Amino acid sequence: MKIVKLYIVVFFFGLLLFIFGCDNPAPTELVQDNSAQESPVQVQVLTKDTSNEYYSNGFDTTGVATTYSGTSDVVTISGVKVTVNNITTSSSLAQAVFFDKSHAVHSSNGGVMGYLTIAPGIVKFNNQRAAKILYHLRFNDHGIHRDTVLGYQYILSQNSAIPFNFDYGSAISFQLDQMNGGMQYSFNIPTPEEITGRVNLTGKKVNGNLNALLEWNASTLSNTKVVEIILGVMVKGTNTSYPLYKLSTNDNGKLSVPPKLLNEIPFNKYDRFVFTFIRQFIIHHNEQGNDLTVYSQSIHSIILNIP
Amino acid sequence: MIGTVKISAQSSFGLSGYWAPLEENSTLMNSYEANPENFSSLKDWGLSFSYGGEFSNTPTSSLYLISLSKQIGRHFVSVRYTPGYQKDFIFNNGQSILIHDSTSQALDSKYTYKELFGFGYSYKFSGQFSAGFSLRYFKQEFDQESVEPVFSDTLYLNRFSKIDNINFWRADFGFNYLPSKYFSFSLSTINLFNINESAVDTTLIPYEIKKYKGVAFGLSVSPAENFDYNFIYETTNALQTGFDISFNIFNGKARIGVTGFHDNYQSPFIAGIIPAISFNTKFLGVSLSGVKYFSNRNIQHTFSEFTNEGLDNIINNRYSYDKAILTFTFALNTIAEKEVQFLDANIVRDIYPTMSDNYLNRPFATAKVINLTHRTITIKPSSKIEGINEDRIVSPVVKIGPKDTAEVSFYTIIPQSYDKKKTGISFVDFFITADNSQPDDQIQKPILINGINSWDGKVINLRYFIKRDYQFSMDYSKKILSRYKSELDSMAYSMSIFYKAKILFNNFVKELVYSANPTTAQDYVQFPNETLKLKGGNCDDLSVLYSSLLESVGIQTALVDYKPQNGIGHVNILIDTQLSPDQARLITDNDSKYFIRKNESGVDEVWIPVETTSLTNFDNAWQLGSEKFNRDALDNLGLAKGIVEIVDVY
Repeated sequence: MKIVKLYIVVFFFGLLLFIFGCDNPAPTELVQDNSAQESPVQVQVLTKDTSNEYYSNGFDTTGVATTYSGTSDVVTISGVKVTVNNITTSSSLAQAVFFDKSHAVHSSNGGVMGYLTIAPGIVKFNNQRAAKILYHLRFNDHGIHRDTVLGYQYILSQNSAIPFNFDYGSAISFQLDQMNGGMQYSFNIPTPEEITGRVNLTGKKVNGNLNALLEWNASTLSNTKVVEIILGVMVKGTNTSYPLYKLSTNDNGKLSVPPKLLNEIPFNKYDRFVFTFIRQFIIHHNEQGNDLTVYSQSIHSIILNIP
Repeated sequence: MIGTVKISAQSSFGLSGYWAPLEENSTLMNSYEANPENFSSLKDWGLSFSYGGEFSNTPTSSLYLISLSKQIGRHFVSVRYTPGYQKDFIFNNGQSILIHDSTSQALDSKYTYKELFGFGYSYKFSGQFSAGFSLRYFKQEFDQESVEPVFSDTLYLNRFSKIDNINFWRADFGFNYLPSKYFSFSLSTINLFNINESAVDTTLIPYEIKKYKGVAFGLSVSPAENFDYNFIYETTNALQTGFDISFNIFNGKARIGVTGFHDNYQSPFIAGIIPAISFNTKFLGVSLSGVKYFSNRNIQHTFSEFTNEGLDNIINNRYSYDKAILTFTFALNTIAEKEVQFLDANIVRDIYPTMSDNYLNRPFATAKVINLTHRTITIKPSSKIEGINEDRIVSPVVKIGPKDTAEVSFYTIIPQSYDKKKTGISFVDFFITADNSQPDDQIQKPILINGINSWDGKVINLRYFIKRDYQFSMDYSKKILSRYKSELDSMAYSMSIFYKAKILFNNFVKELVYSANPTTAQDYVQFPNETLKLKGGNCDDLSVLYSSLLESVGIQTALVDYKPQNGIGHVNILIDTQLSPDQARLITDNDSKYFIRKNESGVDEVWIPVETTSLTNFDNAWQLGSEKFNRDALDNLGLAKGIVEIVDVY
């Protein structure tokens, strides 16, 4: 009996010692080589305030960025497709904005909202002259909606009168003729392959099981490695859209949207999704001391009713 | 992209190596891996725990398992908790959150594989064959971080964990055959039954533990006394092989062994070894083992490699690290361990209940027993004859050397109250007890129990019939003698014995009207009251009667055994007259009618032979008895030759 008691004491002492002196076995850290991964994805919030239409998020319904940081002059050329109810319309658009770095626009709390813009001369894309129109900045300044004209911008959009066409996988020429004997310069902007997306939307919002499998024609060239997909919503009964997230992923043709990004959206306000596929080149130029950022992008937006 | 899965690690891999599932080896007690049939040589309770360290880049320590076992008769049950049977994989799952256009937070996933607990059961059909099964519960937890938007005053992204559990049971069956202590064979299934929870997220299916079905064959041989060679082969192309040597030290047994293991996907061919050393005493076992892989384990693995290869063994896979394990085993025996065992038992003498004293100093049975221990033990034999003994009758103790055999004698006591006249077959339980209060072994044999009138034909044993019913003889004798009280009182004391003998003979003879034997069986002897009641008997019965009547009144008698010549034996009696040779003339002038014998004090006394079958009168019986005695015992030298024997009743 003594032996049994001794064993019981030793056992429980040992047990306590081991339980409180133990780790979990060491985990194995696997290096993510992505080759086995479906699609790595980086998620970024675009619209932080979805209740405020004056919140500037930098994208319009088509996905064309309209707000720039102002740190450099910007040239944007876009081949845009919009699919609604399985009907796709195409258009081409070119923009150029030149900032006056010496005139910043401040909000009431002193923050820099942007810079005034200037119209240095004549801007041409593929020898088509771009129109000079006003450049507005709309923002909410501590509860006050402000709509400010910063200056001018140059826009060339395709229409029946202007045969401007975004040639995919090609190049578009850009030319600036400055007024008053200023310098002239021009260069060709390469264009990416055309992107055509497809959205396979399953589940129902009422069940909280919406899933979106996004597919697109993967790039056959090595010059684009990343595709950006803007996931947005449209306010019920309006054409007001709110881009919510930007998803960056490999240009390999397939992405499963993290389901929570869809199912957590407050659907009482929105009735349509907008999926915008963007394949773009970003080119940095320095012309006579001025930084110039060029965006050349193929955009396909798909608008779908939320099931 | 999911590649073709081709791994096949050892299902039988255990942290202590593969040991011979032979007797006196409790190492396999807690191993459902190499011992899914749950074989055990434990006698009662078993308690075991294994603690160890894993030598990854950051060494860790874990309590690998705790197990509890119990032998209940032929049943053996065990339960095991395995907190250290766990493998975790951590990796960036490809998702990330971009904050403020520059700061990126990567999201991780953690896949955890655990064997939580298990049950085992086996049944020992015989000392050589047992079969059983084990049931094990595995937990698979897939914890994947993902993004979660939060819509409040502002929209922002949270990271949250999505956890999927795909748990399952595994059941395996096997048997173990030990035809001798030098050889064992086992056969067990691999993943015979798997009861799975189904994966909600089907993308996780490739990451579930693979469950290949197969069979494992185990073989252990002991070509030398202290050497075991062990081999186990799995049909999934994996094997383990090794040996162990043992030696006795400090009242226990120490073993040193090594096991090498091979499977289909680890390299080199022998992926690693498990050296182990253990020390076992009757109550405690300690073993120290290590797992040493021959390939470098502290290297980086990619997620795609993990996806392609998968995992089928939690504690042994290409991601496993070297280990050292300390295992304690407690054998809490509340059941005494058998130290001695019967080899056989033989009844050497049938039971004649009336001859009870015979069994006090001469064994009625012997048995061969073996000392199972490594020390000299003292054993206490005992027996209980059904129908005769109420309790076990203990025989003298015997000492037996280590592992030696000895012959043990069994004696018994037959109560005076036993009165069954019928002969029948009963059985006797033999017990041998060493140091314990309970018998170590027991064996049962049939035994012939004769009726109380049964006699083995040996004249010497007639005295037991003479002594039985002594009270009857005394009453009968006194009743007769009382009628002659005045005559007896008036004569000299020295003559009273002779006359008492004469009176008693002449009186009981009157009651015997038959001269023929009422019973013909030679091995049947009547007690005095029966002879008088039946009014006759043969020479045995009449000698018993007369002797009993005389002895009951203090007259010493002896039986004269005329041993069978030509198949016919005879018995009559001698009466001690207590007269000295000089006084012989007081009863006869014929010196051939008496016989001089020394009493216990060495003094010569006159004995007279009486033929009890002469149912006429004392003088005639004396005359016939004398003639036969003189002729057979003296003249023909019967006494000298041993043909005639005088048997004192007392």
